[in-house]
Amino acid sequence: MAAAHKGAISFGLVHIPVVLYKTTSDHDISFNQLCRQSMQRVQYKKFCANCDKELKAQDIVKGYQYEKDKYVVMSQKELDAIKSEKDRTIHILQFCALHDIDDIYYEKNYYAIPDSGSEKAYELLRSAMQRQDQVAIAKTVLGTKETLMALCPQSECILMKTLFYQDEVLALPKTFAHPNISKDETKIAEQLISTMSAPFDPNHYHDEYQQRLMDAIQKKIQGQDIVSGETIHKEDHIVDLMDALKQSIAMQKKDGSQRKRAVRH
Amino acid sequence: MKDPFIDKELMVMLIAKECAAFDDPDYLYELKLDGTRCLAYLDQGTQLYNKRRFALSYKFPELSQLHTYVKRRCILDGELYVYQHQRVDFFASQRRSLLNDPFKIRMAAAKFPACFTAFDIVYEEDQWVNEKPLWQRKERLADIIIKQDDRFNLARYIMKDGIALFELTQKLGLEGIVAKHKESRYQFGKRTSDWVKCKNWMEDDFVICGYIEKEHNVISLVLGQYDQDILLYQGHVTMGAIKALAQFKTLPHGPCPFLTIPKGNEHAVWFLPKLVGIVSYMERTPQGGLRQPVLRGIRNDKEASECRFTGN
Repeated sequence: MAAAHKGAISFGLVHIPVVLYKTTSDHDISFNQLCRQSMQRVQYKKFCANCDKELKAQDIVKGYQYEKDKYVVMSQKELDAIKSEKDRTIHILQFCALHDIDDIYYEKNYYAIPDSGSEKAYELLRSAMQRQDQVAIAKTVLGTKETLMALCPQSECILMKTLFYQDEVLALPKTFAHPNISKDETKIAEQLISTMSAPFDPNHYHDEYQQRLMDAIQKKIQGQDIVSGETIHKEDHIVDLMDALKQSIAMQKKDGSQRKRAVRH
Repeated sequence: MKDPFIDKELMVMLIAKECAAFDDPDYLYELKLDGTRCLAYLDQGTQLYNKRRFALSYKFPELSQLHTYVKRRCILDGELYVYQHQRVDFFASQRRSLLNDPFKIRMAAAKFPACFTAFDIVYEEDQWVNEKPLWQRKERLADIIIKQDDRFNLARYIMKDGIALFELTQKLGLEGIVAKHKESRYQFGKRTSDWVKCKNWMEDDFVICGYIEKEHNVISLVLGQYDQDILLYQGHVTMGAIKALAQFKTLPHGPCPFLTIPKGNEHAVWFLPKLVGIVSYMERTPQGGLRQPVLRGIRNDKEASECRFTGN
């Protein structure tokens, strides 16, 4: 799998090079748009209705709409000047207990894998955090974004969870009434919950629409694949090929030794 | 020692050298199957890892039941490859290892199913066997296998007659052979000359059309061959490119000699197509380049126009 990012965890005087990998993959079926007539991919062209012409990259600038139809234009130079400095170091800022972090702050996960040579320092950090039940809060630049994260020790590796900043998290948008519940009602609800309770097995759950879609597509492809009439040759099995080669060497040898004997006679 | 199934951190033993095929009663010889080298951890399930310890199992669902082919818990070394139409299709297994989408993987597994051929055993039940000599490991390996088919099988080998086996692989267009000292120990992650490869190389003459500069002062030569009057782009050669360096000063520069500039060569420096180089390679890639190309030398006795494209 391709690495998502390379960096180094900085912890006191220790520097631990790590490679980050994605923990999930989005494999929902996506379609391409095709021209009904030519079956060619639909292309996007950037177009200015006012000038009635197609735009190239150099014809386009970035504008921020601060009021309806009013834009302030930012040049690339201006943007570059304030960009976060590319910093591949993952600076550990503090440690805390995992339960100190509210679930609402978690965004994405990455596997952090030690780069070769840094396994020992990595293992030291992972096992020490695990024993003390602590996670590290750290900051780095991913792409161009200054990212806050928690480094969480797992039994096999360190999981890197990116965190939302507080100002990105929205408060509860609306209040609502919390009526009083009678003891009997609570009891019934709790009973219902306990009858439906079972260990969570993620393997039980699938996106069934995606599966139907995949099956339908696979059927169509198999229908289009011209079933070739060629029969499987015996040599189409690698086992047969390997045996045939072995046998043919044994035969050559036999021939050779017979010839030698013939000469001797 | 810790149970190797916990961390699965073993590294395969590597081949240190390549040479011409030879006969030696102390060696055993097996086919070099052209795919992905991997270790199979077989217990209640099957887990495959390549030589860089990347997990392969989820990319090869058709190989998820390899543990049912063996009697006991074990760790096997072998090659994962695609064999179809009487040839080992390296590009089919390579394409697969680049897939991540389970649906695309499922379709590829149906169309180009892979095979695992086991050639060594390093751990059996709760015992390390890597320190035992190869011939003993081969016996244990043969003993542990219950059944064989197109998904899982045991590598055949012969004693002593390396040259004869190599000649057969040449005839059949296989990659070549591996010679292994029969007393050799299995050394994890080591490149040793106890194992030697003898490979079939293709060789042809190409027109050197230009070069591109890469990082760290590395240069790649741009290659071409003629099909009638048209010069066809044939990819790059980097290994051995330094052999052509001396000729560079005398070569007149010119425009790109191809009909259109091949993708990835936008910054190439072009010569008038005069210089001819001998390049050896494994095979042609589906993208129209060469696999593992090496520039063997420069030819002064051949006209560029005589470098014909034959497609071999």
